[in-house]
Amino acid sequence: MSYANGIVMADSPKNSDTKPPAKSFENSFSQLEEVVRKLETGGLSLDEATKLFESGMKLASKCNEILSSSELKITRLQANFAEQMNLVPAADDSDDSDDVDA
Amino acid sequence: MTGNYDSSDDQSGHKTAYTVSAVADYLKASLESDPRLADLTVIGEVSGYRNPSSGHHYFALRDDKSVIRCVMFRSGRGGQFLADGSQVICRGRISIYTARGDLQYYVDQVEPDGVGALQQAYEEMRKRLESEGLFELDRKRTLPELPSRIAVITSPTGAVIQDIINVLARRYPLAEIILIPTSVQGDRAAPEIVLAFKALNAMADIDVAIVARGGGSLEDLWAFNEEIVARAIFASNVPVISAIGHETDTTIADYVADRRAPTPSAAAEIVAPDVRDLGAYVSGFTSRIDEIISRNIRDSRTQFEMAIDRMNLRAPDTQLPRQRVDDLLARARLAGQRLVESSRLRLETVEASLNALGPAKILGRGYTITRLADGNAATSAKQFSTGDKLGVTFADGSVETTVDEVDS
Repeated sequence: MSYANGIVMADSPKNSDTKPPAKSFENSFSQLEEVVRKLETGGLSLDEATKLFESGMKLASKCNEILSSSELKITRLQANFAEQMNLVPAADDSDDSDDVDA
Repeated sequence: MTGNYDSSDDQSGHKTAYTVSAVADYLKASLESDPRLADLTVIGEVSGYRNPSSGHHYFALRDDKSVIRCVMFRSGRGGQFLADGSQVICRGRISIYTARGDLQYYVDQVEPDGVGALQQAYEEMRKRLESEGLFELDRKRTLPELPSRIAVITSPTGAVIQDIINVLARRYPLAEIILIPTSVQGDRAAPEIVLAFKALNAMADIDVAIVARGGGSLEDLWAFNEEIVARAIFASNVPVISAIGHETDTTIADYVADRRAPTPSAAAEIVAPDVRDLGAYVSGFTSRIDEIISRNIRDSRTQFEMAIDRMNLRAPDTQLPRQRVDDLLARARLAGQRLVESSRLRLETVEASLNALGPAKILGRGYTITRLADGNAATSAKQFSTGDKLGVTFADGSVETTVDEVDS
């Protein structure tokens, strides 16, 4: 299978220590929403408003950074995932197979 | 192939003795040269069905008078319809299994006899599951807005997973796809899909799942009409999007899933937003912030001006000389304006540092662009000779001048 550029392949979920960027985007994005909400509510001193503006702009630039630099990651479970995860008993190779007459 | 099949006698008049293999091969070749036997459809009742771990299917087809031995290899289609006593229509070829000299019907495809049988079983199960509440709209879960980990249950090879990967790589590269490989057709598909959902439920922090398969015949899609698959989707810990076959195919899996997508690509579009839309949201927020802060500054200025005016109007007629009052008011006005201006300056500094350092910004910091007579930017003093025309571009305009001396 060939994948487009900018895609990271991993063999098993164990290798995926780093969180997908969706989480940090969601964090920054919801903080940004909160900044806008506070500003829209009003009743702030000019200094408070200015501080919110600064943090809002920084959050926006972080969001844009995540959106433009992320790469899709693909992890494929092994074909015998069910055995590895103990969902089924491991296949028994010595099974008295009656599949000799093919 | 050995032996001369056309002559029955050798030169000495004795009957030729053929080897067993030669006879078996001859029979095989004769059978296989008959076009009617090369692609043959047979209707009959299944008996002696065996499905050993090799995955091949061994059975016999019979009617009230005769029996034919049959084999369908693992790659054959419709194995799920084989069961002792069931009436089926098979398609395949007749040949000889030379190792045993058995005449065998090599089946490629099995369908249940009668168009109605499959449809009827499907309708019955659909009604039963519906009455149990598996299709209830109330229990459909909403999909996460910004999924981090997306499980995809489908075949690891072929166009479906590729389409899903391509769409997500383009639209939403913020996530991780967890591919849980399964068969998607044949009698192994349903149990494998059930195991895939068990694996899904055993994994932490998966946000949403897609179960997908490309288009195919009703028989190809049959696994997604199996009750065990329906129950596995129902028991999923996370919302499930189904994308089975084409838009016109609706399987039981589609009824149970939290969301149905017409195609696998569409499932990948439904599962997450487009980063371009997210980017537009972010810019919407920044312009909103910009707007509010500008209004804030304007309002502060207006309020301040109004306060000064009120003080002016209300200034009691005291012994203080009028000029002293005017003085104080002027100083207050100045202080207020400074406060407003310093806030404005801070904002502009932040904005400027966030903006990309485009050429306009650099020019704003005192740099200029030097141009040759033809208008192109000059990059070296060696490009000029005394007396050449030379242009200088500033942020807000340009000047034309002449080179007096070159020192390079």
